[in-house]
Amino acid sequence: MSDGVISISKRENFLWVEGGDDKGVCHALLNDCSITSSKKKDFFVANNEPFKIEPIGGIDNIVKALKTSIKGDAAHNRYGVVVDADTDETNAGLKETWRRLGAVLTEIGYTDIPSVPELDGTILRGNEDLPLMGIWVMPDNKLNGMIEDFIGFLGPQNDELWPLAIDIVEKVISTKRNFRLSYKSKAYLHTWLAWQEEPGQPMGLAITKKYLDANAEHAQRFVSWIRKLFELEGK
Amino acid sequence: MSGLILDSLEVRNFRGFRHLQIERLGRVNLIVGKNNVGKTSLLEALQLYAQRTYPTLVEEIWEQLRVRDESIDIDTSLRLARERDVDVEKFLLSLRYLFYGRDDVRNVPDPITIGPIRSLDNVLSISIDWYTTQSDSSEGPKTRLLKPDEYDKVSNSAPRFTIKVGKQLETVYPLWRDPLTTSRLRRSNTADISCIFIPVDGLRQTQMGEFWNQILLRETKENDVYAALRVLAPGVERLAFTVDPRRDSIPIVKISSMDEPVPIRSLGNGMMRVLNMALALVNLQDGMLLIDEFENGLHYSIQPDIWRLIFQVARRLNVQVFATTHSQDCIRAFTDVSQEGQEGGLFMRLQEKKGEISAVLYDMDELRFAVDKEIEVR
Repeated sequence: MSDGVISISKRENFLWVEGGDDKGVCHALLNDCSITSSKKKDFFVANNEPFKIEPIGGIDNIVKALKTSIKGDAAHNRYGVVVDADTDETNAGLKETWRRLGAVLTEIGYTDIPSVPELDGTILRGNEDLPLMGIWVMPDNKLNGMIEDFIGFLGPQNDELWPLAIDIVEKVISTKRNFRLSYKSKAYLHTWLAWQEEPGQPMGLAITKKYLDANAEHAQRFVSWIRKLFELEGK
Repeated sequence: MSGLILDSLEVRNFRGFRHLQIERLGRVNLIVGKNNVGKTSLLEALQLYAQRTYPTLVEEIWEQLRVRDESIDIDTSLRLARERDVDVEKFLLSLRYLFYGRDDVRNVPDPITIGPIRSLDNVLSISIDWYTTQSDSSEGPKTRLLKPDEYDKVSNSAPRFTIKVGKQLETVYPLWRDPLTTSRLRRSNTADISCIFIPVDGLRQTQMGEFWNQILLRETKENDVYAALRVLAPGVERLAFTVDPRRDSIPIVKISSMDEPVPIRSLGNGMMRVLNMALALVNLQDGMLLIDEFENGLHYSIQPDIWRLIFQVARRLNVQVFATTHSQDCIRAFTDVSQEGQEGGLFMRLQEKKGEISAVLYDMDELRFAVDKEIEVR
């Protein structure tokens, strides 16, 4: 790795996602809407604010990353957090994820945290000591679930395979099931992906190959949030 | 593990530090921070803390000012002044650099204090004050400490250092060490803590030769030095210093693949850097090693081996190490070696906010996470 001055300045803005699949999805959506990918791997440029997409892990790691970054000289940076709401037995996924995010952001010093996520993605303005901070809770800042649910919203209209995939997964669930019920939407999606022209493509490639619709309303809302976060003036 | 020389650090009124508090220190401390935030100043504060007796302290103060081009030429000034009075003003102008705010030190600045946070008995305090000597008394000359506003109103007044260690020891030192008049003063360095500062451009060659002579025939320490050199050049067999009365002695090594010994410098800056660190480290016992810009000349791939050696030898000889860096590779190597189980590492960044410099400490978990996820800590 280079220790050069330029790479330091370009390492300041992050879009943190949970894992490699999530990174692939962001790549594909950003490429589709012409937020340019820079020559450096995993870097994108919105309005001259380069940011890096970095898979960081689930909510536990997000909390760590927020604390660690704030310890850094981070006030002039921008951070975007893409985290799954998740689903648990008590159906507290989104509520609990937002509570944990709120707790760490409050601890760090943010004061303007809304009680529920904003539907178009939350953006906290920060101040002279705190960076601009964006939060998107998958799938849509409203429902419990995960990125697979978000991808589910990107399926083509009137697709014939999608109801079939749901049907078959439900049958499997009632007879023989190896996965946790909270992973049901993963099972739907990957069953559906297995039936495309090139079976079993990861989510990002499925967008690039147009099996999924990058212009779907949910995709556009997500991309608008990213654009707003990294293009906002005045930070 | 023997106790650390400093388990924490509090510095007041020294250079850019109005009041710097570092809650805890480790055995091996790595310090980062932007330019001009006081990394070198922190090392200098530690050096003054260690070298607290006369004349070491006074010499060290002027040496620190000289290295930064802040000092008057003492020798010349004294020689020119020999006939008349010494121009104290000139000396005081230089000393301004030492005190926070760089105010006029004629007005008796707040003392510089350097020491652990919770152990007031070990805090070093350096102040400048004025005294006057009155010889009209029948009992001989008497000195009297002047009030801050008196220095230019009283005849025969002169400034001096007042040095305290805790509340116990209070000594007054002259502002400079005049080689002609004070060379006979006994060097009372019993209370000094051994301390070696390796600047960015390295130790002087003569110093290195002295360090090598000090440990010759002490097999463990010799082997530490060889182990360090062999990280870079596995074929190193023997180290020696040339003896030539007309020139500085230079370090040379015999390498297995070559018939003739070669100068260390011809093997690259990294070899010289590593030799510096190894020689300094094995010459310290219960002391402090200060390294400015650790990574200088060192390829990233060998830095973990050098850190490992430093951790091990520092623990064995009870040395506390403070190093600065700008390099992500250096931080990564430090983190890797700490994670292997080398204990006592501590990482901190100095930062300036609204004119105030403070230290941010990272624990090793946080540092590991930041290094892996490329979160900037520098």
